[in-house]
Amino acid sequence: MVTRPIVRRRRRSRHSVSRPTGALEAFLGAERDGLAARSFGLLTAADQQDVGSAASWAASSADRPRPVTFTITSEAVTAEGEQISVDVSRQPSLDQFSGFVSARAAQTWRVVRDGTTWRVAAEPFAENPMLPPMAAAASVVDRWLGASSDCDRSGAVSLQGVPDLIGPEDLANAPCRERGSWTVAGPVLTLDRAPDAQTFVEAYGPDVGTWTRLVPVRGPRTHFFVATAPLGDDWRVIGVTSDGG
Amino acid sequence: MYRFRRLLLIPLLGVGLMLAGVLPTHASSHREAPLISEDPVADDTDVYAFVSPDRPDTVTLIGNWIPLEEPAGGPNFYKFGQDVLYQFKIDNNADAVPDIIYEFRFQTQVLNSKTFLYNTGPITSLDDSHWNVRQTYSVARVDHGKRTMLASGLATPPDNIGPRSTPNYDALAASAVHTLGNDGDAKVFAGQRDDPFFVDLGSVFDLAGLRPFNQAHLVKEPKANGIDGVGGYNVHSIALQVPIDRLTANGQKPSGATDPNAVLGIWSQTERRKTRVLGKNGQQPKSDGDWVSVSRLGMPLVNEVVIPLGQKDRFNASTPAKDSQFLSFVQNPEPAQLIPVLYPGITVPPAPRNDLVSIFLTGIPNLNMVPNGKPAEYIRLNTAIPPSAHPNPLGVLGGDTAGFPNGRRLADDVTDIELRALAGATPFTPQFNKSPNNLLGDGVDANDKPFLSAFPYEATPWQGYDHTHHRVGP
Repeated sequence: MVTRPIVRRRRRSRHSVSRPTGALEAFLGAERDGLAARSFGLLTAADQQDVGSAASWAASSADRPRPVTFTITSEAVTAEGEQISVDVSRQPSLDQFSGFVSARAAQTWRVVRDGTTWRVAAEPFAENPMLPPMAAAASVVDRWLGASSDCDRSGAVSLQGVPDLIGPEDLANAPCRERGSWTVAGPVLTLDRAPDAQTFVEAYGPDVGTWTRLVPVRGPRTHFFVATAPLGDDWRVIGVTSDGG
Repeated sequence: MYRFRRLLLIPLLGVGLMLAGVLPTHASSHREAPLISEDPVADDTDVYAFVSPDRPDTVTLIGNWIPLEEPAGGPNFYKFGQDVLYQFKIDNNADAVPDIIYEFRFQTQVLNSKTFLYNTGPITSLDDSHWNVRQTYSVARVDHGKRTMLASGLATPPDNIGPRSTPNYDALAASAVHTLGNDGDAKVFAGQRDDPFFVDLGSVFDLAGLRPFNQAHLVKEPKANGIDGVGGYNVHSIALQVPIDRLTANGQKPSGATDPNAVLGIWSQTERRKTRVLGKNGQQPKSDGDWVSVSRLGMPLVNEVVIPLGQKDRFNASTPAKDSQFLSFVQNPEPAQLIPVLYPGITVPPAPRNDLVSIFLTGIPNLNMVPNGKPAEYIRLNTAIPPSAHPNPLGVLGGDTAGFPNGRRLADDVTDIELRALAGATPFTPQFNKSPNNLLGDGVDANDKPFLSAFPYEATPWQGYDHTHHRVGP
């Protein structure tokens, strides 16, 4: 088979790739602007080889949340190169294909020297989503319980991050089915408190534990956890799961 | 144009001569590689791609998973993996990189976990409360790296259990055909169907035997008709019917068969999370890491008998853009080397087999080859060739350019076609396009159930109640 060389016209960038931060800014700027060929050209040689081609990099861009804005916050020298921290904002989303994309995140990137220029790794080696206040999750669940116990389907859906909740249907339907008082029954918890978190992992990816929060709820006979996700500046209900009781 | 078709019309010689050459073949991609054979819900058995016979402005893509489903598979009947990412990938500019991807994810709902039953009464609709274990799915389309959610919460039909549980199965399945209004009114279906593939598995794996040619084998057996080894089994199918202009590079229906935008490259890729950790005390396994490819399928046969055992898992994990690493296996396939051993006196073209490179990796000139396209193993479909009014199961070899290897239809007899191609019985190698090479076949020429005339085309799945897994055939 004949492998054709990739002909790439270099774009002039206002960011100087002769500095580590300049390389990362150029890379994130290209990703922001949808210029996959440009961002591919800024990858480390190892990552370029691993990806294969600029076309493959472009084809996979749906799996890389596109930054809307970014601000470099710190820069550190390590044995492997430079570590650069950056705050990014993105369009928040949640689905079974892209997983969770937070509205804001703190990322750490590795940038390595290549002759007189610097090159960027294909993905940040650390990312921490910036979450809204946890207490707000309980408030959203309280309103969702109110709508659900009134059997107000559209009202409940308006507080959900996804149209179809993850988890057992009998729990999701319990507030409408069991007449009586339904209340938030405890403080907001992390996902590792759920006996069965795997359903959420399968649906939304292995990082689900870093951003999902559980709110315990209790009705006349049934009690369970309501799972919430931070979509934008607020929390939204994404599923239900047993509390093990 | 259609030079290849004209060559195919050269009269066959010596059709009465019943010497037989044989090549080992396989269920198209059922359990074809060591790792995926242990992971049936992610094991893609076959991919089909054809211009829809009843809607010729659309292309139908079908992928089947879970090989050899026994219809009486209760109490935990078969279902899609909810920890699996199922995909159709389409290359519309011949660079072997997907330009459009359709993605599918499944979710399982158990209404009542305190019973062992799949259903607690007859299932008469897709929201019937008697149906205890059900699946819904989401569909997304990635177009040049931009993902759009097309639908979520789409219902699958139940498995076909029996007259008490699924009394009107055809109506249930028909109600699980959904329209994707935000994708040109594409249609989608996911659920159990009859396995449309047909092949004599039992004989083929018995030292590459073909029952009609048993007397020509090194180890002789009485001549017999073929037996459909996948007959009576079901699969889980994802079928998608998309307007052609939603798939082409320029967003238009091709102007003709020579339009460079007419040819689509199509394959499936099935992915799992990188790691899976089992839990104690019956806890659900935990998945972690990025998605990695565990099954990949375009043209039938290639990973089955062309790629050697030590490379099969690598092939499933790879992508068409990196197929140059497998070129030598296509140029000098092991099956061709076995022929003189198993069938003394039969000859096939010598390596390098550039004829097979055309059929499997580049496309056939003036049919489905894109000039300067990158060699890659996937189905090539010229969408400007209309459906045939009289389809020939031998496809292009039978003078029907709307069939395999121009795309792949359900009724195409890819086993016989590929046997003959491997034996050199094509116009590429005219000196071998003669008897017995051009008569090769496993003796199974059609599916054990008739196909439907409309989407999703595959036949109703076998039901468990009245189906004993009998021998299909004489």
